[in-house]
Amino acid sequence: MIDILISAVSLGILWAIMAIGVFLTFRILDIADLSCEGVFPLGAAVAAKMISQNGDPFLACLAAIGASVLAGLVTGILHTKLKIPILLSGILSMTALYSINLRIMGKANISLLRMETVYTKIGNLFHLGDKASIIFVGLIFAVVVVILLWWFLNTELGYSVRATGNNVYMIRAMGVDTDKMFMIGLIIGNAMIGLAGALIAQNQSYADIGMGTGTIVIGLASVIIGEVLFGKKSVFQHMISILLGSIAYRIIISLVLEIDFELKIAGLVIPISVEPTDLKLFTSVIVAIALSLPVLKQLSAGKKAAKAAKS
Amino acid sequence: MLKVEKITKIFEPGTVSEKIALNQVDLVMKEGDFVTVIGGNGAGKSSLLNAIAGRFEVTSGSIFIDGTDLTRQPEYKRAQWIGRVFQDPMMGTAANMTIEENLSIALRRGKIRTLNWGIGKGEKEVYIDHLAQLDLGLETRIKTKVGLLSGGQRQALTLLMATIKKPKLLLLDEHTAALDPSTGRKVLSLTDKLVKENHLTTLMVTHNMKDAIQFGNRIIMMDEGRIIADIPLEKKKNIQVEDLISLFEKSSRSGIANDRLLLA
Repeated sequence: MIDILISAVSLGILWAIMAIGVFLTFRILDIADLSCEGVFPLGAAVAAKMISQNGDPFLACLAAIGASVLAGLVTGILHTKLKIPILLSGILSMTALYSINLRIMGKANISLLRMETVYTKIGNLFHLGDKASIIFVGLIFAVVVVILLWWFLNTELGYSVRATGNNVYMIRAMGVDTDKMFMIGLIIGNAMIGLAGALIAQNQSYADIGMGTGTIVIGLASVIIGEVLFGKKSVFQHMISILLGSIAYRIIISLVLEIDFELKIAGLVIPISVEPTDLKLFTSVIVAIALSLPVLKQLSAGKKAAKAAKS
Repeated sequence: MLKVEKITKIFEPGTVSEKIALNQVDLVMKEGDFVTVIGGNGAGKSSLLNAIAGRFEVTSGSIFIDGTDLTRQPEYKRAQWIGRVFQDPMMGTAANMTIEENLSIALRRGKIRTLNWGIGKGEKEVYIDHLAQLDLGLETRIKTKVGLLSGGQRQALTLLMATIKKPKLLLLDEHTAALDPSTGRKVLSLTDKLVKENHLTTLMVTHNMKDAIQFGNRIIMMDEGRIIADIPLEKKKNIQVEDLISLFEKSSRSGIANDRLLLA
């Protein structure tokens, strides 16, 4: 059980970097950028390709960030300059990236077994075990990302990006080119998502063309779970909440995977167990419920009011 | 100061829903002018302000501020000269950001945003000073998110944001119409105070003829995208609401019966 929790925490920290990238577009810019489904495996593909050819794993992470910045820029241009709705811009990028990722890897997956990764490098440097080094490296990256983003969001430029997500009329009237702000936000968000892809590929020792499926839903789940459990009073607290939300999500997932029992109804024995392949369904249901909470609350409030009116 | 030359704006030209919002409008404003704009619905009042602010490009004509041609400049570039308050109190502020963060954005209107801290040294004191002048108690709440303020408070804050960095031209688009009457009065007198203290060149659209008479030094009356009357200070001093209505009936092609103007 402890083992399961530890691995859930370490995964949660790594995935939090992706979730904070989703937070930047979804919450700060207030747009749903689906390109992350292609950018996450892009980061993984670039890093895996370089590491499999004995490249330096840190350089590989930097290259993954660089490639993701380009992808974010393309989505940004599609959306702002070519006026394609953001959902479609994201889908276009994501679809195009599928081919690009295959080109980069040259095949559907690359194994990183026994290759030098950021975890083995830092683990050796500080004489850490496998599990400890994953948590240690994950925390370093996550903390640096949170601090850098917190700093950025509190600069003049960061204020403009936040205001753009809030109210484009206001920030244009204040002399800010909102197209540029959307692009900056998309670039930074995707950089983080690509970095997460690179780190997770190294953690699981392979990159796979299909590993991006469901990225945005996992990101949203972490954002929403974090907000509900830990609040969002300030930008800094909001980001910490998402970091914790990502960990909470991984813990929930690993607990759900433990479900395995038999239901006996009227003589029938129905085995209930959750397979890893069920997780995407489970995650989607969580996010759907969380996103519809405002409507559900309204409905129940309306029913209560109707009852009160009757009595 | 402001020179608007024969601007015309046609929405959806060549289609059945073609609409001439502005028709060869000329307007010159001197430094320190406080002009009120009245007219019925669809007369082109807001279109005139939006054309000057750059919400859309005009079909023809030119717009100058202090000799600079703004006609083809995008909206965000014109912001270095122009401060604006919208009709909708939600539109002038960023709801999820705090009062001080909103003011920081306002203080940098028209400037290039850098990677310096959003709120520089000594800026908080400036915000608190200005907020205290609003007399709404906001100076003790600078870390409050703007979304938690009332409509009147938000509109007063927007007014402060439009003027904290002195604009060459202040555009007010029925900025009290969405407020309850007593709050509207407060925001209007605050407007008058800020305009006078800072000697702001101001163009204010209003539906209320009493306000148009009480405030400013000149009244412009619009109808069907044209300016149909321009009343200078000397005439404006003794004018009554009835005079404005009869003037409107005489000059207007659309007539007054269908207009909210009467309710004012």
